[in-house]
Amino acid sequence: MHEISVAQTIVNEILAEAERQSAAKVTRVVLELGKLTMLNFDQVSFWVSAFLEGTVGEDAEISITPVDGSVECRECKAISDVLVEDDPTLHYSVPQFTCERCGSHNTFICKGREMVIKTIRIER
Amino acid sequence: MHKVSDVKVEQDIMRINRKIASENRSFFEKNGITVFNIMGAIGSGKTCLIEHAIEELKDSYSIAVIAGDVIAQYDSDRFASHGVKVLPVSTGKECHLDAHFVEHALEHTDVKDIDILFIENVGNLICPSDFDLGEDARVVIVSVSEGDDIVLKHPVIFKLSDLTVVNKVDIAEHVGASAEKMVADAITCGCTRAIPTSCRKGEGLEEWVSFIRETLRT
Ligand SMILES: Nc1nc2c(ncn2[C@@H]2O[C@H](COP(=O)(O)OP(=O)(O)OP(=O)(O)O)[C@@H](O)[C@H]2O)c(=O)[nH]1
Ligand SMILES: [Mg+2]
Ligand SMILES: [Zn+2]
Repeated sequence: MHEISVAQTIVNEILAEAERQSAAKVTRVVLELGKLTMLNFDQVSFWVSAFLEGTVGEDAEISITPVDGSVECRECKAISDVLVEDDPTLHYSVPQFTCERCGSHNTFICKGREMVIKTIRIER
Repeated sequence: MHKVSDVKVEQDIMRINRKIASENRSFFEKNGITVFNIMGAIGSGKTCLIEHAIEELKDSYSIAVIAGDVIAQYDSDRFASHGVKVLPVSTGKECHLDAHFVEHALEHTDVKDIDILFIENVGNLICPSDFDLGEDARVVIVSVSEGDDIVLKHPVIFKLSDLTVVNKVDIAEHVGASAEKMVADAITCGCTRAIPTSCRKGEGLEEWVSFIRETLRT
């Protein structure tokens, strides 16, 4: 639900960078978003485009690279991928945050919460 | 011809929130304040559980509460009736508190004597999990009336919390929900501690208050 404020922040940053670069147009925006953020990527893309309307970025293509989740184990320090298991009864995927090496639940998320503007493509 | 080029931006848009959160954290450390970020579903009993903790702890500790809500007045009045310092934050359209709201709420308050700060976040299991406030412990509260699938539907907030409270177990039967399942699901999601409680009947409230005591700075 905070996609709107996130999108607004992204657009502010894009326009500030475009101005620093004296860009006449921004034609492409590349974002990296973690799969463990609570963002709906389609919504972010929609609202970024919406806020770019009427600016140098109004025709920009929005490209989102999803970043997989990882956890680091507090017991053995191993880093594991966050496995996503399909739950057939819920029709929903439940991420597993367990350590792959020692099986501990005592882990913390070390990757997958990114919200990064990677690059913009500009025309001068 | 236009000159086309790709410009590296590498801007993490959460960096501002992270920066303010870490400033909040240093501020709390310096002033010896232990901070609890109380997240959870709408109407799950966040205010009731904080009120209970206040009653148990207010003779030994000086307590303040940040009541974050779309309209904060209602919960603020409830907290104020216990004689603690209340810092209302009306979030307006926002669905969560962020570090800046907290910084702002602290600006006009004398915090020197405060030991414990409870921050009641906006009722929502989605958005608050993306925003660090500078807290020492995160608590997520759900109640059986949300249905016993609610935990598995929102795994990330449980993973990111230090304690899960499954409240209103007194009415579990009436709403056909299993509190045991919800507690087990929270552990499956990677929360290290989960307790069933009832503000009505008193079940689990001792452990709730123990959690707070164990988290306090010594
Ligand atoms: N039966 C039962 N009712 C409860 C329990 N805890 C809270 N309630 C009731 O649930 C309702 C909501 O409680 P609150 O403490 O206001 O919940 P909240 O999470 O702060 O609500 P919001 O701030 O509006 O999201 C109130 O009517 C409480 O009396 C409980 O353990 N059992
Ligand atoms: Mg409340
Ligand atoms: Zn391990």
